[in-house]
Amino acid sequence: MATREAGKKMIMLKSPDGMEFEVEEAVAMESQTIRKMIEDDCADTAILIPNINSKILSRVIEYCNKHVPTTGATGAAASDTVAPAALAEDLKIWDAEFIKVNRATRFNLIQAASYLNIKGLLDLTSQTTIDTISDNSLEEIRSFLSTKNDYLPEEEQTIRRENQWAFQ
Amino acid sequence: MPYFPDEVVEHILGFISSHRDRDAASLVCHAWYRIEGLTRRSVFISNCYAVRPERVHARFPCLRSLTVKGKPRFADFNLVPAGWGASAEPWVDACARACPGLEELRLKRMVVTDGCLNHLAHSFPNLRSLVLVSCEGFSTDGLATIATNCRY
Repeated sequence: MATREAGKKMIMLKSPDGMEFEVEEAVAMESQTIRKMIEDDCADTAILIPNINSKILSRVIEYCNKHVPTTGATGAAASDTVAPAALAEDLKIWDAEFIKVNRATRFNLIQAASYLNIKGLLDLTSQTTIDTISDNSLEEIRSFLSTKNDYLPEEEQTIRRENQWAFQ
Repeated sequence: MPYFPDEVVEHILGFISSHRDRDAASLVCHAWYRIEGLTRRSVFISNCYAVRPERVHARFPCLRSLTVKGKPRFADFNLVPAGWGASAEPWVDACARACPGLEELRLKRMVVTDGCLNHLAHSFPNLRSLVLVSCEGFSTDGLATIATNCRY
């Protein structure tokens, strides 16, 4: 249910495992997916967020809460007390802490960020994934991504050869 | 098992700029290969005979910038016989057919004829940059058609 508290519009988000999260509209609107729902007046009752369990959803909300003042539509509130540069630096440190999670959680965060269309979170999680896999061997990357190697050996060999000779 | 939808893979690949890393990504699985190929904008061919131009366009249909190297480095010291090859023509022809949106073409130690430059000038309306390093076979006439016909 969307209710009003202290002048701020609240949005209720529901995870499929039955937990409910009440967040400020501005925070929820960090997600472009939810923003669309709100703008199209589909958010009168609680918004059910499929595919994202309460543990991940609460992390996502945590992220949005932290990021709402700097990227919010009003923009003015952020620069009042702290210099924007210092604030950005602060956020960076916070992000670095935030993303220190295990592999499964990060995967779920990427999926959630993608589904909810939260660009900042998607960028953060993607970049971290790339940083993690960049020094690993192919087999490690595959196991890390839980991706099956669906190449036939000869197919892989062909691509390998092509990469080596042609596309440096 | 967590899996990534194509858009997410695309997004992740967007953070990889080095060609070597992108090559590695293409080896992960079929899906990554396909998405990497579709999203690569810039391709570097270190030897024009290492791969057929058609193959490049089949794998990277959305490329915008192409670099092709022709003769080996010792051609600079007159150690490569005349008529060795490394003609730019097949590359320009293939590009004109497969990739009219090309924006940048860099050729090194290749034979570029005036006819080839003329073809180039008329095939790529969005061409912004043409770089010819140690290339031969063209005259000011060819360059003039480029100057007349390319918008940027």
